[in-house]
Amino acid sequence: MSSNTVKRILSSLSIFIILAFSFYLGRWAVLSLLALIMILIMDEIFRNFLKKKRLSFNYIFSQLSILIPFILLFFFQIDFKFDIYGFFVHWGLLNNIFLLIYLFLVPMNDLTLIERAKKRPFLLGLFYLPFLVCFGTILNFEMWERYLLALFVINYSMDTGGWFFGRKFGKHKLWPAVSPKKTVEGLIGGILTSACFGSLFWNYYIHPVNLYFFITFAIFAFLSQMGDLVQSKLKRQFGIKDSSRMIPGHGGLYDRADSVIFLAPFFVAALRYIKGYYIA
Amino acid sequence: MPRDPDFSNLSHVAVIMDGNGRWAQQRSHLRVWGHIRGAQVVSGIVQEASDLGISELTLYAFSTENWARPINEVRTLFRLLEKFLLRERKRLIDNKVLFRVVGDISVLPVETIELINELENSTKNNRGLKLNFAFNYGGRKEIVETVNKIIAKNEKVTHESIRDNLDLSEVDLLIRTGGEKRISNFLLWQTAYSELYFSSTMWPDFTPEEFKVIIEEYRNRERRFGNISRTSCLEKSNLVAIKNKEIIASLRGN
Repeated sequence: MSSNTVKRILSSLSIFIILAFSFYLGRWAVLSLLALIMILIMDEIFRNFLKKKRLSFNYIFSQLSILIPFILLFFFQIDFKFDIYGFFVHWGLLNNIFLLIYLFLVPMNDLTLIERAKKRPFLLGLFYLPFLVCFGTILNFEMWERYLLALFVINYSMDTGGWFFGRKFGKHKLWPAVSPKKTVEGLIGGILTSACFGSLFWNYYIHPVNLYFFITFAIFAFLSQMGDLVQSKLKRQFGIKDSSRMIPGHGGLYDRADSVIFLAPFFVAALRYIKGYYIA
Repeated sequence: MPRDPDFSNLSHVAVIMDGNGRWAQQRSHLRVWGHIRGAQVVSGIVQEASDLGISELTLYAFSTENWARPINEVRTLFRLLEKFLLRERKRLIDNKVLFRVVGDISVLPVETIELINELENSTKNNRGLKLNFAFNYGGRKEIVETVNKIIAKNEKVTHESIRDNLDLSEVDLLIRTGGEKRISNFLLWQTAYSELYFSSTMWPDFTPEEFKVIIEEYRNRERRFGNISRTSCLEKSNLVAIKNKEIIASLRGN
């Protein structure tokens, strides 16, 4: 085994232990961990994507515009007379639709958005806020551990399945301009792996599944891969490879979390709006 | 047949306040949040019941089975009862409400028990709406305890003695919100002849307007108590039944 592989395995193991320990401690620990991860991701974006200093208005405003609403919503349980979580879920979906449009319609060499983001980075906090709230929303469900794990299973099986099938059968490049290593075979294999493991997990730990669940999980897997591609495109346009070197062998936190962040609003929307998904 | 003049007399309404947790989860809120919202709905309904001239209202706040819920939820429900009492205390006294808690309250925190006793004492002479809170209440448990009470008094166990020894009177209308169609061990004896109304509205969304509509609907229903036409109460029906039994018996005697 190369030293990089050892590093990767050790890093994965530590991440798993941190996650498991916070799950064991309960809802508040997981909420705090999520908030911490979001702070670190924002830090990566500001330091490495935008090359900004920590002690600046933009940085502090962005961090606070995520943290304060999150704390008010989940730690102080502020009362709203309207469906506040629905508002954030829709906001997250809108952000995702925007990102998808950006992925498919904006040419690779069009850096208008990148320049805008560099000019007014204080808005980035508000862009990432709904994603964090979507994660918090999952933790409001009575069976939050299972739903959160289901989200991770779907996401992780997509990555792993994609990697495995891509290496074994990969012939046709998916989109070399955005992500040179991804193949069509990897995408299809990943989707199938993810739908299978997602269905199995759901079936044993949440609710008996049928074909509709399988199809939905396949769509989730596809969307998670799209999230990956969006971030690949953005990283390429920013001219960086990894978001940071925080996790040895893996790169940055954002590299690990990008697709699951993208998937979260879709997942919560399914829990809220598709009949039979959420079990009281 | 002449219409019974007092058929629409609605004296006792019981409500199962269900759907709080589900209401909250549908909005991606914590379950306990639904109970907090649900508690805010109660006073409006009590007011409406009083305005509609209902003489007794029983609310199912916590059943003997609700102990199976997550511990946080149980604690919240306990705390909400206390908060409700503190908040509504003055209004209950001002509106001459006769307040009572039925069920085993010995499990509650001492301060809450004192609060309940104090409020029950200071309202016991009121002649307005009778408001009963069923807390840690179970219908079967109540019947068993009542029968034991009668036996301890060395009385004969009969329909009448059980009726007279129960804490609550016969229920005319039982409303359950939240869409489930069950009685869930609530007032089993007293609901034998009640009209049932199941509303799909979750309790936090329940409004005094809907309550009024349900009461109107009840007043248009035909209660027969085993008779073939409208009858105002079970006792009237029983009188006819006794008379008929006598006639049949005398015919057989011939």
